[in-house]
Amino acid sequence: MNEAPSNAVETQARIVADLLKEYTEKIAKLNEEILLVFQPQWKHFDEHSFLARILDRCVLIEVPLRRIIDRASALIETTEIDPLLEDELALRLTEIEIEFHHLLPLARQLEQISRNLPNSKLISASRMSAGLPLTTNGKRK
Amino acid sequence: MFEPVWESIKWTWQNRDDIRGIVRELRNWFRTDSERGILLIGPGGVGKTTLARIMSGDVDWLFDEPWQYLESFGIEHTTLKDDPKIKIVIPPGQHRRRETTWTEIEANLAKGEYRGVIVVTANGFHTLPRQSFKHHKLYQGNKDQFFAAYREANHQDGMAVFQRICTAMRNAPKPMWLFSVVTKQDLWFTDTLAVEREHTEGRFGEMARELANHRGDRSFRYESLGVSLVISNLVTSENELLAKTVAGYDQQRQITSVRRLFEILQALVDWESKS
Repeated sequence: MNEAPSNAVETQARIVADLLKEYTEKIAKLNEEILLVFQPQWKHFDEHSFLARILDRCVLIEVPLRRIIDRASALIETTEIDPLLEDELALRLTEIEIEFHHLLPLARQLEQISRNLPNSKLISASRMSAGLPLTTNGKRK
Repeated sequence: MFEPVWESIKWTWQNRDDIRGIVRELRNWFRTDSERGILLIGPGGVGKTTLARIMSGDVDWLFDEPWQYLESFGIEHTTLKDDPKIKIVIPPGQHRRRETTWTEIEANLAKGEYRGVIVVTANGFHTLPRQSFKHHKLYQGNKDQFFAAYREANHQDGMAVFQRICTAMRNAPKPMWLFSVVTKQDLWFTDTLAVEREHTEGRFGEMARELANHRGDRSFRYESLGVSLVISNLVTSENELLAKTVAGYDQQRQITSVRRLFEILQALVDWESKS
């Protein structure tokens, strides 16, 4: 049996609101980690794999997260959901957009810095060996 | 009879240097007044980012596949790939994002900070945000009725955007042009005459004429054009077909429409140099 559209929309809105909450926290943490790397005294015992991991997290999260953000925006703009849920969604959307808005330039900066490091080849190799796509040119894929 | 696809591809290949030459000329024009950017504005889902990426040289519209709809959630500043000083400013089109971004844009427009504005609409064929059409508030159980209502609502929204821009441009101090670009021609090609009429004698045309009368020919120029940046059926993110590309609308027609786009921009260059 298919769910009635209004129930399906509310269910979707709740799933999306939870996802936004979860990823706002994750991205806020990621932003903090990147800012730490920018500190002159920053050091890590396994620098290249740490940086490779941060870069992968930034880059690979972008498109799926944008899709969730688009979905939340569409729910607010085009559907009729419970007003309280709509307000919650709008708030969570604003929160994630703030973090996401800062993540993108930070990620580009980090990529730039990594490219100029003496172990930049190790960072690339580490990322390549994971078999993940290297879409670090700032373009939407 | 329309030519088969292979013929269009061959034509594109044979004319690629000419077409790229037009794009290059346009990019040189951007450089002539780097202080004032170009504002590219319109509702969500009409192809603003795609158009900006083509104009900036970020994608080669002949051979790249630029289309993938993702909402823009802040003001985008696209710069020329090889000249970051030149800006194309693209505010997001969704209603909820207009509240926070458009007021400043309109204030800057009224101060004359843009050399010209490209208002992008799509004759109602806006890409639906990431959602099934069945969950849209206009859906009442019938797809055709939904799509008619959806198109009309989008059309009205496009007109409201155009009106907002005309109002903001009214007393802007420097010469300025307004270019109304109606995208997704491949979806509404059979309505071409009606769309043209609307932008000359109809509601859009009236608003532009009123603005032209107020500002005078020396400080205002208006152009309009239907164009197809990408040939593609209108489908939702859930893969539901909303509208099909008009039968026979092929790549050659698309290229012709984009070529016309660049010719009009070139005409605006000439006008700028004389005004």
